[in-house]
Amino acid sequence: MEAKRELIEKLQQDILLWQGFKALPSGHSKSVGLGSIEKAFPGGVFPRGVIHEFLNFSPEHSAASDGFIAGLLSVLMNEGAACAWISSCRKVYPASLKAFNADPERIIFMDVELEKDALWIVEEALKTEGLAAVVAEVSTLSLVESRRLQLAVEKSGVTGFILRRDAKGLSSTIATARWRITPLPSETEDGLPGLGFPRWNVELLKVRSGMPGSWTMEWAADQFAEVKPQQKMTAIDYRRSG
Amino acid sequence: MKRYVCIWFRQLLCDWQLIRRPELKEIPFVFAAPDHGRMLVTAVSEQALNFGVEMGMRAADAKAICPGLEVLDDKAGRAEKLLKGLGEWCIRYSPFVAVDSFLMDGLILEISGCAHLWGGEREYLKEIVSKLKSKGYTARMAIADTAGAAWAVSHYGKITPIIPNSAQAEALLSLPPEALRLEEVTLAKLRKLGFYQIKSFINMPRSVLRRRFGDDFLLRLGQALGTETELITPLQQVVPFTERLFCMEPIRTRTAIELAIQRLLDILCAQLAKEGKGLRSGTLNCFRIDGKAQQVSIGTNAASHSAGHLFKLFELKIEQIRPGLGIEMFVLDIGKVDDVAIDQEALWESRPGLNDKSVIRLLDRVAGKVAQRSSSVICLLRLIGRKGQQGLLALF
Repeated sequence: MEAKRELIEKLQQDILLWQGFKALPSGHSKSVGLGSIEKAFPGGVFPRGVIHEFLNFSPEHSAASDGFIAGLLSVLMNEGAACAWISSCRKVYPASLKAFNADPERIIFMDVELEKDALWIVEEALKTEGLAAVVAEVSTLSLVESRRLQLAVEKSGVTGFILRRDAKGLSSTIATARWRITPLPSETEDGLPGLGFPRWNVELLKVRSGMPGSWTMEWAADQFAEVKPQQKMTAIDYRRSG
Repeated sequence: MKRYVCIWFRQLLCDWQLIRRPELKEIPFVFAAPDHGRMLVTAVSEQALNFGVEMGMRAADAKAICPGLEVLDDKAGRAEKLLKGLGEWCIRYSPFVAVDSFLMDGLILEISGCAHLWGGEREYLKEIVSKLKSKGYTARMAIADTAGAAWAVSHYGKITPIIPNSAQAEALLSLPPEALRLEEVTLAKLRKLGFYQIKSFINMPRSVLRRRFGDDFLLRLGQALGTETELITPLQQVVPFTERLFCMEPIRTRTAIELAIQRLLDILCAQLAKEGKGLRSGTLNCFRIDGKAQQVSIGTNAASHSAGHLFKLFELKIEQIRPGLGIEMFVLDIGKVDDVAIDQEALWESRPGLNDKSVIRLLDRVAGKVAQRSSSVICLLRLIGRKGQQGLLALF
C-alpha cells in the first residue's frame, strides 16, 4: 500500500516535470504571499518561470490587473532583481507602483509602437536570465506566439505576465495559468470613514494541473490578504449600505 | 614628444585655378565675392600682385589699377573643400590631418613617429613640398613641437622650417606678433605699443599681459609655446581598432555576410580582450563591386568584447545591407571603446538587478532592433531614476 502511494506520488512528480513545472531550488521555494490561492497550483507553490495570462476586457480590469501584478512583482523582485514592462499602450504610471511595494526604478519600461516589435522584445526579455519577471501588455496572443514565449521561459526561468485585451478572439494559449482580476469596492474597518484597502476579485480561470477557483483578495499592510467569505460584502450590499 | 607640421598654401585658390586653366598663367586674375553690394577681392594671383592689387580691394578699383585683369567668381566654402581634398591626400604622410581652422589656408599634421619612415624630418618636408609642387601647389611648411609654433614658422619664419625639440620659444622670438594667430584688435593694440616682435613681450609677467590683452592672447601664446593644449579635430577620426576582410568572390548571401561578420568579430574581440577594452559603438562598411558602400552601425550600453553578443547585434542589421551585385570587402571599424570591468565568476546565481550583463545585452538588442525602424516611430526606453524622476536611458 505504502509502496503504491509512493509510486503514484513519484509519477505525479514526473508528470509535473514533463509539463514544465520545475521543482524550485530549496532556497527559492518561498511563497509569494497569495495565501490560499497558491494551494490551487500544483504542489501548492506559485509557479515561477512560466507564463501567466491575465484577461482584461475593460480599463478598470486592466488597472486591477496592474495593481495585482505589482503586488506579485514586489515579492519576485525582492532580491534587488530587475524587471521589464513591455507595452504598446502603457497606461500604468510608474511611480504608482510604489503603492504596491514594487520599486519602479528597477523596472525597465519599454514602450514601442508596433505590436510586432513588442512581442519580439517580450520574447528576448523572457530569454534574459538576469530579469526576475517580464510584464507584457499585448492585444492579441496566438497559440503559436504563446508557445514561443513558453519555450523562452523554460530555458531561462523568468516569470512572464501577459496582459491581454482581446475580448473577441480569445484564442487558447499554452499559458500555465489564466487569471481574471476584477475590482471590488473596498471596505473600511469598523465603519470608519474614507477608503479601505484596494480589493480584487481574483479568478483563476485555468490552471494547468491545478484547481481553478475564485477568491477575494486585498492589499493590506504591504502584503496580500485574503478576505474570508463571511466578511465579504458584495457590490449590492455596498450600494445598499452606502 | 609630439611633432606637428603646418602646411601653408599661399595661393591656394589661384594655384587651383591655374591647374584647371593653365592658359591663365600669363594673365593677372583675381577672385572676387559680393559683399555689401560690391565685389571684394578675395584672392590675388602672382601676376596681379605685381600690379599692386591686394586682398580686400574692390574689384572695380583693382580693374582700374590693372588693365586686362580677369575677375573670377569666388564661391563660399571653396577653399575649405579644396583643403579637405588636399588633407585627405595628405593622410599618406600621417593618419592625423586637420584643416587649419584659423585662416582656412593650410593643413596641420601630427607627425609623431611618421617622419623617420621617409628618412628624417628634412626628407619628409622635401617629399611633401616637392609632391605638392609637382601638382601645382606652392606650399610653405614648418615642423615644430606645437601646432602653434609650426603655424608661426610656416607663415612668418625666415631661417629654418625645422624647429628642433623644445626650441619653439627661441624660434618665435624674432617673429612678428601676427605669427601667434591673434585677433585683429589685439594686434592693433600690440602695434600701437610698439611690440613689433614677440621677444619684446614674451618675458613680461603673465598678469600684466592678461590685463592688457585678455585671456585669448595668453592662450594663443601658450599654445605656440606648448604650455597650453590645443584641440585639433582631424579630418578622419583615427579608428583605434579596425579590421578588413577581402572576399575571393563577390558576396551576396546572408549566410556569407554572417560568416564575414563573425570572422571579423573574432579577430577584433580577441584584440579588445587582450587590451581589456570593449566595444561601445562599431560600424561595418561593406564595399560593393559597383563602387558603392553599405554601412551598418551598432552600439552597446556597456562595453563588451563578447563576439557572440556583438554578432547578435549585427545580425539584427544584416537585412539592411543591400549587397547589389556583390560585396568584395568588409571593414569593421570600432569607433568607441571603453574599459571592460572584468567580472568575477559567481559560484551561485545571484540577481544583481539592472547592472546584470544579460539585462544590458537585452537593452542593446532592443535598441538595435527598434532603432532599425524609421525615425517616425516614437519609442522611448525609460528608466525611472531613483527619487522618482524619470531618466532617459535611451531614445530612438
